[in-house]
Amino acid sequence: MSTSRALTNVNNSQEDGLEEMFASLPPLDPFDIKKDEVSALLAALMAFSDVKRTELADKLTWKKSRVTSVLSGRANPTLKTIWEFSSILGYDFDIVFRAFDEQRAKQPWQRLANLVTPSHSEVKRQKSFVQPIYEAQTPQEVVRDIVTGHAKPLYVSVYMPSESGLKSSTMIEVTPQRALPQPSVTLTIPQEDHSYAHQDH
Amino acid sequence: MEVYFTRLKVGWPEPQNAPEDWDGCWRVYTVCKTAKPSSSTTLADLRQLERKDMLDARVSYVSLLNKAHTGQPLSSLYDEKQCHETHSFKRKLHDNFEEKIFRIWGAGDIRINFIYLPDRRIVILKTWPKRKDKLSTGDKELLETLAKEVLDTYENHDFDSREI
Repeated sequence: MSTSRALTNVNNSQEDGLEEMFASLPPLDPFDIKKDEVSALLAALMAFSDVKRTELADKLTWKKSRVTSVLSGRANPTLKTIWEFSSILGYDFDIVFRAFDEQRAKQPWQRLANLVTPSHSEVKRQKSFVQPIYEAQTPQEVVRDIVTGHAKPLYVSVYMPSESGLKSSTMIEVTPQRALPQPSVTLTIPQEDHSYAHQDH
Repeated sequence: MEVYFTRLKVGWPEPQNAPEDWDGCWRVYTVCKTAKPSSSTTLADLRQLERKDMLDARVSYVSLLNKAHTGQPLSSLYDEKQCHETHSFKRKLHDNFEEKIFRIWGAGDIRINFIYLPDRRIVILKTWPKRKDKLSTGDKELLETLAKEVLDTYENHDFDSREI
C-alpha cells in the first residue's frame, strides 16, 4: 500500500476504532514483536527476582547500557546472552513451541500468582477507590500482592505463640502507636482456610 | 464529563496473537468520549500525528502491551528515564489522596501519559510527540482534566458498565 493511500485510509476511518486505524498502516513485522516480547519477559524476570538493572549489570560484569539494550526490545539478543541473563537470576529456560492459537507457556510469576487466592485488597479496591491505610491480609494475599507489584511499604505481622490461647476467630485490636487520622481496627485471627474478617472502629 | 473505556488493541500481525489476559496482568485502556470505540481520544491523538510518529506510537503501544502482560511493575520493566511520574495533583473531595500521572517515553518522540486505576488497570490519557522533556502548564492542565474525567467516571460507575 502506498504512503498516500495509507494516510487516506487513516483519515477516512472516522467510524472505526484503533485497531482498524492501525490496520491501514503497513503491517508490523512479527519478528519485531517477538523481539519485544522476549525483552519484556527478560525485564519481567529481573523485576520478579527483585534485581535492579545496575545490580544485574554488576553481576554480569556488563555495562548498564548493555542491559538497557537487551531490554529495549529492539536488540536481537543471542542465546548466550539470554542464558547469561536468566542463569544469573537463578532461572533456566526452555524453548517451548506452540501453535499460533495455543496459549503461551506460563512464566514463574504467573505460576506463583495462580497458587494463591484472589487478593482481598484487590476485591476491596473494587468496592472503594480510596486505598486503605492498613488492612488485614493473609500470608497468601501478601505474597500475591508482592508478585503482582502491589507490595505495601510496610507489613506488620501477628505472632501467635501456642500457649497464648489465641485461636481461630479470636478478635485482636490493632491500634497505631502514632496519631493517625485513621481509626484502629479489630482483626480476627484467620481461620484454617486463611479467610478472616476485620472491622473498622 | 464522564467517559467510556475501551481496551487498547493494535492488531498483532497474523498469524500471531496478542498475549491472552491472565489474573495478574495489567489491562490497558483508552478513553472514549461516547459509547463508540471511534470516539477514542487516543485515536484522535493519533490522527494528529505525522506518519513517522504514528508508526512510532504503534511500536510504543506494542511494547506497552507486552510489558503489561507480564503483570510486573511498569517502573521495573522500563528504564527510570523511560517511565516515571510526570505530574501529580489533588482533587477537592480527595484532599489526602495525591493522584499521579505517569509518562512513558516510547519510540522516537512519542510520549504516552497514563494513570493507574484499581484492579490492575492502566488508562492512557494522551499520546503525543514531545520534542521537549518538560510539560508546559497547558499540558499539565490538559492531563489533569483528562485524569479527573477518568477518575470521576470510575468512582461514579461500575467499571464494567463503562467498558465498550
